[in-house]
Amino acid sequence: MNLISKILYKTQKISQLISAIFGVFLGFLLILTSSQLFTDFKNIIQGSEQAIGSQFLVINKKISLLNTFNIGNSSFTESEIEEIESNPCFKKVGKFTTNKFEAQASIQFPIENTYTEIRTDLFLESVDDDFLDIKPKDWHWNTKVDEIPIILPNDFINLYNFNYAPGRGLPQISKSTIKLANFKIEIRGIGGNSVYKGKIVGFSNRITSVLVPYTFMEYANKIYGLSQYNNESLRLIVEAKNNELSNVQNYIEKKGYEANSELLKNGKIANLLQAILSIIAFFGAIMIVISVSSLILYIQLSITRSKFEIETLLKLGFSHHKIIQWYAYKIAFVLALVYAINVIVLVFIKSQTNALIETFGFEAPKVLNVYVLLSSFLILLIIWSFQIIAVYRQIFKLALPLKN
Amino acid sequence: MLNSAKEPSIRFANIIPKPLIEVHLEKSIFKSDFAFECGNWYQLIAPSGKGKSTVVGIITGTRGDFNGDLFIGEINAAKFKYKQWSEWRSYGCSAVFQDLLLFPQLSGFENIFLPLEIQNQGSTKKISKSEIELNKNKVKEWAEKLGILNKLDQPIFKLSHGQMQRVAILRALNRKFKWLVMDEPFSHLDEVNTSVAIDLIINEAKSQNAGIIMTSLNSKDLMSGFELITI
Repeated sequence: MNLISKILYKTQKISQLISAIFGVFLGFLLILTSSQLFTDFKNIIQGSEQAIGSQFLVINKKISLLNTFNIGNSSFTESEIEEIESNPCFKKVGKFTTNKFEAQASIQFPIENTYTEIRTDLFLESVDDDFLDIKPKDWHWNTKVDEIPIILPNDFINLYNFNYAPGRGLPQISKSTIKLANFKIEIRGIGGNSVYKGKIVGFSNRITSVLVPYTFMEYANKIYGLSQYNNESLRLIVEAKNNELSNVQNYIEKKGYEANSELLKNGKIANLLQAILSIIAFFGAIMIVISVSSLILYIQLSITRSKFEIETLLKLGFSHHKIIQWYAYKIAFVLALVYAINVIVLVFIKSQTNALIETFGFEAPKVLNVYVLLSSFLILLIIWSFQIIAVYRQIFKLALPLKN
Repeated sequence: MLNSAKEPSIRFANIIPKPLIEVHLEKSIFKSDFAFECGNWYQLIAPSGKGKSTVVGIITGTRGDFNGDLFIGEINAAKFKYKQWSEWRSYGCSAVFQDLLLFPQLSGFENIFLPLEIQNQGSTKKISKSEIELNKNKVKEWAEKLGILNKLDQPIFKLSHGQMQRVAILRALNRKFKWLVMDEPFSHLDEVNTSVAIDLIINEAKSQNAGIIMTSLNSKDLMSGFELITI
């Protein structure tokens, strides 16, 4: 150790230094960990979105009391639809076409030599084929055919099998059986009455409507449609971009729409996680600010304690640059140590969270995020320059002849 | 500039220290144009409070609270930046301060050796072992003459004030200098040690072709070969 170091080391108070450094270390660890975890979780969420494929959402306006009294309007206007179409979160937007005629479906079950008939009003909808999650091979219709292919929501068949049928003593029906069943579909409207055969060709998870081919819907609305129905879109189906789910979520909330929110869960989780992690990072930032100022205070204090030594060194001709350099090296060493220990601790934390994430069946990146490491290094560099500025200011004062 | 072979003169151009404006009504080295010439020896004698230490402070660049101009060589010291002050203090003028300014935790040897390390600060290569050994032998010789050789390994705070004063004198001598500026350097020394010390000082100043400025309280302390200046 050279004499200069020996002189300046004399006035250091190790306990004070350690507590100041510990603050920097802790604040830094909070920021580093939260940003690393955030990138990890973001990766997972985006990954699972990609695994699912495109996200289709059915959105509608919220029904309020006004709608109940027929004052409010819950249909989408053309400009609203255009706005959604122009939003970069969405790939495409489709309208639902509903039946403007009355329709009833009936089916008969043979039970103990008699027939039990289930009869229900039908609310049919059509949507562009692009938005369907299944493409049954019988899914087409033209005017020469009197059999209408139907896609039922999966929820319907579940509702029947697990709620309705057991309560009524009716048999449960498998999906393949129900495809064999023949419905009667009776249609009444301005153009008269007709009876069609109905055939269930598939089950949709995506759309909770009774779907018929668009060609049929267009034809039937033209022939039987009642004038009191107008051509409004109460619900829209949209295809959202994979990585925009949280933006979609925000957009839908902002506009006061509703969506089948199950699909947006990932987006919601991402938002929640982001909120939690930003709070942690915020406290980390506060801690860093406090601890950096305490580190600056420590250094100022140590320079003040070393005032005699520094002044004497200057009076003997020692360059103030060398003294500032001495402090700069020591602070750089301390901060580099903080950084190194932080990275080691972060690697440990990451191995733990990775293990946790894997128990949930996800896979997180194995290595630390480069940007997290780089930006934290940058923060340290900024902290370092703040310290050096503080040192400069104090030592410059001592280096010139005292004017007063 | 300061490293040139020719030592610079030190000129007080109408300098009056601000705290002494009321004290000094007549011309002395203050309030006049006075030059300390290269290679000459000066002894400033004045009672307390007349500005002896102030002169040392002005010359070493620790005090700036004066009117008038200080010229070091041809250059007005008001134009000195940090670098020039550092150069002047490390190569130009070597000082024995009244309050000594030794590092209490360091040993006598370390204190005496420090100016060499400071003079070496600009260079990248370290002072070699043999140089250190050579220097140490010279310092030991001096210290033996002054009777403090057995004290030099101890930390300074264990020494008496007189012993510290001798260490401070050795520190000022153990380096290259163009001016030796000493503020009451013998105040705590007996006559024998004082005469040994002044011999060492004069020898070293001669061998380095340097000027001396020394302050004293009493005119009876006047040393032979020195130009007397009363403030």
